[in-house]
Amino acid sequence: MAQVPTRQTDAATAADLIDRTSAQAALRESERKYRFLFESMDEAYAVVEVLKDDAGNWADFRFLEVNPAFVAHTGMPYPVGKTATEMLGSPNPRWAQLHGQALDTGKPMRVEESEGTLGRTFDLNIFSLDRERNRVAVLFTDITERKRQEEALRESEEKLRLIVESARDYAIFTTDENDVIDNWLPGAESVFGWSKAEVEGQPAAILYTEDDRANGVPVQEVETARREGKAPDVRWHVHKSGRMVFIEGQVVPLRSSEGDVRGFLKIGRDTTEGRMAEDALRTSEERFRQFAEASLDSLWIRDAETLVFEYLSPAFEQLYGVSREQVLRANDVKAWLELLHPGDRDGAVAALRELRNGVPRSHEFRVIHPDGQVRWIHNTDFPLLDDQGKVQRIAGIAHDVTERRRAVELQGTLLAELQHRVRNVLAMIRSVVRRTSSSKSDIEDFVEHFQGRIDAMARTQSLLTRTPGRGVDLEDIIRDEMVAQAAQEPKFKLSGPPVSLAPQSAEVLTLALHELATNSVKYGALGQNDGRVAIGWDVQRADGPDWIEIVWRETGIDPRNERAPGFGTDLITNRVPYELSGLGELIFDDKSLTARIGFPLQPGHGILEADPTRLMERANG
Amino acid sequence: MAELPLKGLRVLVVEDQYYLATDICEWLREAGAQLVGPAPNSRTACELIDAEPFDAAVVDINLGMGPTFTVAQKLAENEVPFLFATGYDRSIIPAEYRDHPRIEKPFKGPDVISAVEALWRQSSNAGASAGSKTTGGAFQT
Repeated sequence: MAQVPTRQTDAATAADLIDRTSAQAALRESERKYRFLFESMDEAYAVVEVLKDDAGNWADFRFLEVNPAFVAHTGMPYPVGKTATEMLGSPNPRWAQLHGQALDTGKPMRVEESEGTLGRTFDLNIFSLDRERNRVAVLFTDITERKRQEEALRESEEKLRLIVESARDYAIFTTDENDVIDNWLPGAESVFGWSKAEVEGQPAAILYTEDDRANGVPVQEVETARREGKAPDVRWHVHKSGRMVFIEGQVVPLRSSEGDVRGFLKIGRDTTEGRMAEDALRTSEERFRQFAEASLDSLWIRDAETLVFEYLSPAFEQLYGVSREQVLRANDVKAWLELLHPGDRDGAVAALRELRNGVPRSHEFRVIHPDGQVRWIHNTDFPLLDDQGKVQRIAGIAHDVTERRRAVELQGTLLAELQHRVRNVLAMIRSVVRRTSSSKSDIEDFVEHFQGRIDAMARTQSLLTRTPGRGVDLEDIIRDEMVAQAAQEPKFKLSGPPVSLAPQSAEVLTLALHELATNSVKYGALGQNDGRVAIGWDVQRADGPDWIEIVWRETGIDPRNERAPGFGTDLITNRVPYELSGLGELIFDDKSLTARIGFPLQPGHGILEADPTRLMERANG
Repeated sequence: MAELPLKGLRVLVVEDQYYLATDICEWLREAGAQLVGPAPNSRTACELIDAEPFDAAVVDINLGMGPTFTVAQKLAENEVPFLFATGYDRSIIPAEYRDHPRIEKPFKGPDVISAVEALWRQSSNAGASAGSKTTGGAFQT
C-alpha cells in the first residue's frame, strides 16, 4: 500500500472530485426540476426585493424573477428588473408593507388582496426568502373571477331570500329528516296562520287534515319524495284556526353533499279561493245539469258551425221516440231531420239558419215516432254568443205540444159543430114552422102546436146535456113527454128493458112521441076517462145493429073523434124511415090506435153528432 | 107563364134531415127540376150516383155522423157539379172541395134555387171546354 501513496492521495483527490462533481450534478438536476416546476405551474410566482424609503419604512419592491404564469395572473408585461411603482405607475405601499412584514417576522403569510390599478384580486402566499438581501417569494393566484361569482351568488341568494320571504301566497318551509319543521318562512305563516316560533319543532303532519293524518298521507308524501326526487302535495290542509286551506304544491328532498336526505323542502300555493270558485262552478254546473236532465222538456245545444249536438237532455227520447244514442251516433243535422215529418223539414232548416244568424225564434213541427205516432214539438230556440258577440252555439227547449194542439183543434171542431148544430136547429124550426102553419088556419091553434113541438125539441136537448157524452134513456124520454102532457099512471103504462138511444134517434123519437101524446090528449085515450095508453118496447138481435121496436097502443078511444093525417103521421111514417133507416106505421080501428116505430140502435152516444177525435184525424191527415 | 129556372135539370139531393130534404126537393121541383133522391146518408147517395144520371147535386156535409166528404169525393170523381148546403163553416171543408159553392143553413127556397142555377150555368160554361161527362140536362142559358 506504501509503495503507492501518491496513488492513494490521487485516489482521495479523485474521489473528492467525483463527489463534488456529482453534488454539482445533483444540484443542477434539482435546479432543472425546480425551474420546470416554476415555469409550468398554474400559480403565479415572483421573487421580489423589498425596498425601504429614506425613512427606513418598507415602500416598494423590485421584481427579480417571475414565472410565465405571472403575466397571465396579473395582466402586466414582463416585470423583471422593474419596481412595482414603475410597473403600476404609482406606489403600492400596502403590498410593500405586506412583503416587509414577511421579512420582519420571517413567517409565511396568506392574504387576499385587491390591487386597485390592476382591478384584480389576488390570493397571496408570501414567504421570506433571504432576509439579508430583503428577498421574498410570492406565490399567488388571480381570484378576481371567483370573487365576482361569490359576490353574485351572495346577491342572488339575498334576492331569492327576499322573494321567498315576501311570497305570502306561497307556503315555503323545510323539515328535517323526520319531517319536523325546522325552517318556517313568512309565506307559510301567512298561509297556515302558525308563527315561526309556534311551529318550528312541530311535525309537518299538524298541517294535514285528520283524515289524511289517519291515512298516513304526510309520511307517504315524504317517502315518495325521498324515493322519486319529488312528490305532489295537492290537497286540503288545515289552517291554525281550523279552517281548510287548499294547497297545490310539492315536496322535494334536501340532500347533503354526500347525497343523504337531510330533510325536505315544501313549497305550496294557497289556491283555496280558486278551488272554492271551481267547487262553486262545479256545483252550479251540477245543478243546471240536474235541472236539464229532470226537465220533461228536452234541452239541447248545438255547435253553431257544424250543427252537431253538444248536449241533448234525456227528455229528447220521450219527445222523439228514439234513443239519444241513435241521434248522437251519426250526430249530423240530417240524422235529426229524418225524424221530422217530411212536410216540416224545410221549415226546421230555415229556423236553424235564422238561429245561426243570431235571431231567436220559436217554431212548431211534427216528428214521427218509429211506431208511426205523430207528435207536435214546440221549439223555443236562441243563439248563444261568445265574447265577441258571435253566435258560437245555438240552443233550445223542445216541448211536446201535441195535447195542446189537439185541445185547440178540438175547440175548433167543437165550435164548428156548435155552429152546425145551431144553424141546423134554426133550419129545422123554419121547416117545422112551415109545416105547422100549412095545416093550421087558426093562429092560436098554430101557436099551441108550434110551442109544443119546440118544447119537445128542447126536451131532447136537455136530455142530451143531462148526461153529456152518453146516450139518452128511452124511458126518460117517454116519461118526460107524459109529464108534459100532465098524464099520470095508471092512465099510461110503460114496459120494456133499459135502452140507451143515440142522440139522433132520441131527437126523432121525442118528436114522434110528442105528436102521439098531444093527439092522444086532444082526440084519443089520454083525453078520455076510460082511455088507456100502453107503451112497450123490445130490443131484438139483428145481423147488424140491434133493432128496437116501440109500440104505442091507445085503447078506449071515442070512435067519433076523427083525426086527419097531419104532422104526426108524416113524422112517424116518413121521417122515421128516412132519418133512422127504420119503419113507422099508424094503424087505426074503431076504438084503438097502434103506432109502431122500429129502427136500428146506432152506436155513438155523443152530444155532438161528430166524434171530435175522428174529425181531428181527418183534419191532420 | 115564365120559364121555370131549373126546367129539365136533374138534381140529386143529399140531406139527412127529413124536413130539410123534403123542403129542398119541393123547392127544386117547383123550379122545374127533376129530383134524384133525396138520400139521407152517404151509402144511399153513392148508390144513386152509380144508378141514376143527373146534372147537379145539393149535398149536406153532416149526414148524421159528423162531417163527411165521401159523397163530395164521389161526385168530384164523376165530375158532377155540386154545392154544399150546410150549417158548417167553410173552414171545415177540405181544401180540394173548398171552391165548391156553399149555402148556409137556415136557407130559403130562392137561396137554393138560385145557387143551383148559378152552379149549373158555371159548370156548363166550364164543361164546354173541359168535356164534362155529365148527362147534360135540358137547361141552357
